[in-house]
Amino acid sequence: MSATTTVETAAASRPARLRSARQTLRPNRSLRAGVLLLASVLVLSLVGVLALDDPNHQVLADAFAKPGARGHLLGADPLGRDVLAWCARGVWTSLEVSLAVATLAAVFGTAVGVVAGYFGGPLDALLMRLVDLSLAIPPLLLFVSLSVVLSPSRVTLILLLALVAWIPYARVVRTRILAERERPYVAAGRLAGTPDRQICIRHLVPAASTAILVLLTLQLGYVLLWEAGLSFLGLGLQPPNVSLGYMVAQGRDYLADAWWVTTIPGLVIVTLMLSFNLIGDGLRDLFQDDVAVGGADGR
Amino acid sequence: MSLDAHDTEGVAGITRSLFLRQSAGLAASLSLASVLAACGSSDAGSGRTAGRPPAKPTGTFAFPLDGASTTFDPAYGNLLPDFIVMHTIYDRLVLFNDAYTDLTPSLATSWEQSADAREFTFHLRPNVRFHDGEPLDSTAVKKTFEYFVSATASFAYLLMPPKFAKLDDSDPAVLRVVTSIPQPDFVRNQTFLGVLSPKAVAKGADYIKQNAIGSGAYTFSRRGGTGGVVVEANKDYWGGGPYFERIDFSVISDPGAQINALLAGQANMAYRMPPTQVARVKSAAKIQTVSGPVWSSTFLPIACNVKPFDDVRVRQAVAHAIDKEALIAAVARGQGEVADTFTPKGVVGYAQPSTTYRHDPARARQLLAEAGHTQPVKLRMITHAGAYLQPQLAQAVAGQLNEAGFAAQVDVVDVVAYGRAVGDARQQTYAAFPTEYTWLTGGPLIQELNAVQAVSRYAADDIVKPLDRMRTTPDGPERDAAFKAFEDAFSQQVPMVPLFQSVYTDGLDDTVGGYTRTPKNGYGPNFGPLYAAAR
Amino acid sequence: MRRRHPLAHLIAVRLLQSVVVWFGALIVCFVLAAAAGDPADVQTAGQLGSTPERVRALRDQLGYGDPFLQRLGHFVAHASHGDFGTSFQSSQSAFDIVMRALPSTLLLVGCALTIALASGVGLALVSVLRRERVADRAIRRFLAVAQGIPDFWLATMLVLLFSVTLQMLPSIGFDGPDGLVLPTIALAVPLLPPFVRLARGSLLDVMKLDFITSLRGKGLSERDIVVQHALRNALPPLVTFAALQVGWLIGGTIIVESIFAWPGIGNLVVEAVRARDVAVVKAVVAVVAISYIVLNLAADVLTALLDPRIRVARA
Repeated sequence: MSATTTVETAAASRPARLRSARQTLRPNRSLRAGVLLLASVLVLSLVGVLALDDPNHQVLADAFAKPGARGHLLGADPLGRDVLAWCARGVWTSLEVSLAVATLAAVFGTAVGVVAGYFGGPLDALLMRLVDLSLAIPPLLLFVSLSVVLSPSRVTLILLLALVAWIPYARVVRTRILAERERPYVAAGRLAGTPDRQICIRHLVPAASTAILVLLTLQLGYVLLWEAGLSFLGLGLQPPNVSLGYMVAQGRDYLADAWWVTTIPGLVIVTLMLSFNLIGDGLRDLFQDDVAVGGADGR
Repeated sequence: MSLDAHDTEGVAGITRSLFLRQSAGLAASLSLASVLAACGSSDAGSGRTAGRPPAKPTGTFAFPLDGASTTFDPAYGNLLPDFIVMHTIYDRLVLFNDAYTDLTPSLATSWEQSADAREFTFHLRPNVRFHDGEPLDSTAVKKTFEYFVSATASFAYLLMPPKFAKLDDSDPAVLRVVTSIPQPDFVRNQTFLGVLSPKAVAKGADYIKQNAIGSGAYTFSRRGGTGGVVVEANKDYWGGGPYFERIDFSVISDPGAQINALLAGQANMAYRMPPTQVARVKSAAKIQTVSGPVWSSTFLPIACNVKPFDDVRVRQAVAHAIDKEALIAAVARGQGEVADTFTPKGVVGYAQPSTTYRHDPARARQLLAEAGHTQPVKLRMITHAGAYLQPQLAQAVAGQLNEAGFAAQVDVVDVVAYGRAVGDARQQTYAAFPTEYTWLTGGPLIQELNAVQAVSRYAADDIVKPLDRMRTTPDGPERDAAFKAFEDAFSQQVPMVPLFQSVYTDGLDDTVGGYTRTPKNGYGPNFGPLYAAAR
Repeated sequence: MRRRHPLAHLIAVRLLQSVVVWFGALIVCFVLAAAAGDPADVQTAGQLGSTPERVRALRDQLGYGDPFLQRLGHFVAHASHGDFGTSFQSSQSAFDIVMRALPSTLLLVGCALTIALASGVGLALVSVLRRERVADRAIRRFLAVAQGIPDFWLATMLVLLFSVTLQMLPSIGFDGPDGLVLPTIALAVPLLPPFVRLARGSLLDVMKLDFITSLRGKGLSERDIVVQHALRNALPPLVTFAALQVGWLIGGTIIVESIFAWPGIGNLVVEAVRARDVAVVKAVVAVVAISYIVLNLAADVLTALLDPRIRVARA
């Protein structure tokens, strides 16, 4: 729980529904910009993936080629892999991983949040303490320990990241549910004998859906950052998986001679993050939802 | 920080394999007895500065380590930072000369060994005291030897005979050693192990771990913050130097950060720089670089019990698929020389092999076809993120293999997982473990059998028999023949593909003199002669 | 019923739960660390001559040989005194090592937070005063970009620019305030967007209040109103947020500390995990976990104090 809870509860007390049609049509600059940016990046990288060579193709003779040299528009990495091809493919890998992690985290986190918020009492306390516990364990230790035990793969990485990413959902959803369950229709439903599960799934979750959506969009970016950070530490996706973070890490030793190896994939990451954030902010404005203030990255 | 950058898990991030062998024509080995230099400290070697050492110890030398110094026990020390620090504090019975071709006196002024390599006599230097005041005599050396032999879990244990038949210290100036089985490399192994004060030995391993009582040029002063150590000049040192008041070993685990510190003047040296950064240091002002080949080679060991790599043709195909020159140029940035043998050049045991493999993907495919493989042969390699350059090397090798009829993949895992995979002789997942082996003593050690058998799981007689002979035959033509037989069989059977011999470069402040780049990988320099001239 | 009771009860319950969570975190970490291996594993990984017997012997010699449950029991018993064992790497008390590294991290975190706070407030002021004008939009665009910058990439770029190319600032943070500049910037920049957003939102909320209107009526300039009156009232949520960030940052400086060789907790935990220095890992986890838990607890109590509805919902 954070101090933003006050804000969260205040927001939660307002019905979180879409604005009237007239207001929806009002230009939402943030959303438009974000979607446009993301679409451009995706289209460009798709073109790149289709038109360019396999990013894993090493040409040792081309190692450290400068941008523009030897047919490498953005240069080549220490093993002669084309940076442009790598970035193009890397965008899609990042997207896949981010979506997978965010979805997994959203499902699990929402479930925890709904149960905690709806049932309250000791179950709520238990689940929230579980959240605290998860926060208290350094992710680095978790990753290293589990990577000793599990074999390295994309699935393992997704699971590991999801293990960290579910927390904001739990908290945010819980707050929303806490407020929502006080509403008359919930009490009415219960009196009428509607099973809890139905109330939760068909009414409470949709009530929290805008918050979940905003959080998910924002989290796409953070998962991207985390994966890049893990690659930086040597724990992330390895070739033949094409990871932007991997190349940023590769280039670290060669900053002085081959700055493009780190800088360019880094810029791609920044651009992707920017688009996710713009979209998330836009959605937040759209839904008039202040619920995820600073919460998306787990803070 | 990148775990993939530099190694803290072992010398050069890899396994140390110690091999014993005397080079052809080293009747010199028998005439080691006749090498009687007067006072044994090495010359103020090959430093580039034209300065001269100061009259008395001055200033601080800042030497960043890439990991914490965790122990002062020469027996149990396993990691590079430990060795470097211990090299300032302990002396050895013998040392290598500057050219690394011969042994020179250190704590022993002369030595003899019997023709069957079972009896050794060391004449000890007079008037040497340990840092706690104890005198150096044959009893002290005997106690150190006994300690090493008793420390069965230690690294030093592997360098000693399993037990001594006799350790005669009746004459305090002479130690007579008798072993039950021949130890052809016993004297050479002494270049690696320090001699401890007997009072420290008496107090046991726990005491030794935390207290450094040797006879070296520097004494232990205090511990630094994150595993660093500060050592102070030993004013009563018997040899040349020391010329610094103190040496400050700080811990900077990222080699890029070490180099930045050197360039910024915050450190005086960057030891064993990553080849990828050498170019920028070479062009920096006020910095000198010292390069040299080391007794270290990088290999691709192949697990011979994982199908289809039990077929020698498939292994030979791997050897043909690899372009070593390209690897050296791209991954090692030119800091390496093509290797075709198990034993690197310059190490006792080197012999010209009968078979070498040139980069020939067509031949590789042909061999695979002969062995009955029409589809790309799957090969899964494993390496760990902390191993210096190994992940990149593995990637590069995989790329080359994939163009010659293989479907190669690299798993980069955590070091402990890596150790378990390599150590598990029954696993069938991984067929190759790119790694670097280091010859710490300039000659073979008992472990050669272990390397080829343990890592490559190769047990056929054509390699094992020569190894047995090498282990017990004293130096001479018979041993040389065994060396040759081993290298021939090794190159024919390819349980490992030798890739390249390493060349290492150190970066130093250009005021530093007396520095010699040692081919020994994993000790650090001799600190006695090291000095800094005024600019 | 007196008003105090529910609150005191809440605090007591949460306190008890926090202690349990803390121990839970330690035990989980202990198990994780046990799964990850110990220094004997690290030192013998891939080393020739390391038969399982030798590894076991080395493990005993290094002091990690006792059976798992015994070690767990020993650990739980001693952790409550703050005794986490001796660091394998430096042969000193793990707790002491962590305590010595903590001030460095706190220094870094403190500087980064101060800068983020100060600039955050400054940027928010500009944004509010020049609402919808060029400066405001520029700031918001900058923030949108800044939010997406990975801290390790920023740190690397800063090193490339200021240390390697311009040679203006040192690249490792050892001595002197010079070394503080780059790591602080690397940490502060990703913090800015949420700060500015919060400050701006808070300021705007305050601006809607009645007393502001009356001040305007009195003829005070917009700038004076905002800076001298509104700001003061807008600060509390910002401060609370900043306080919470401390706990998060303490665990989150790992990468930046590594890049700059900053002798703080982040670097410590990376080295300790790498070398499997279990005692230090446990000590770090304990310290970091405590800060989380305490700060969370404080935040919950604060919230409960402020919002009776939540308190009731929770009870």
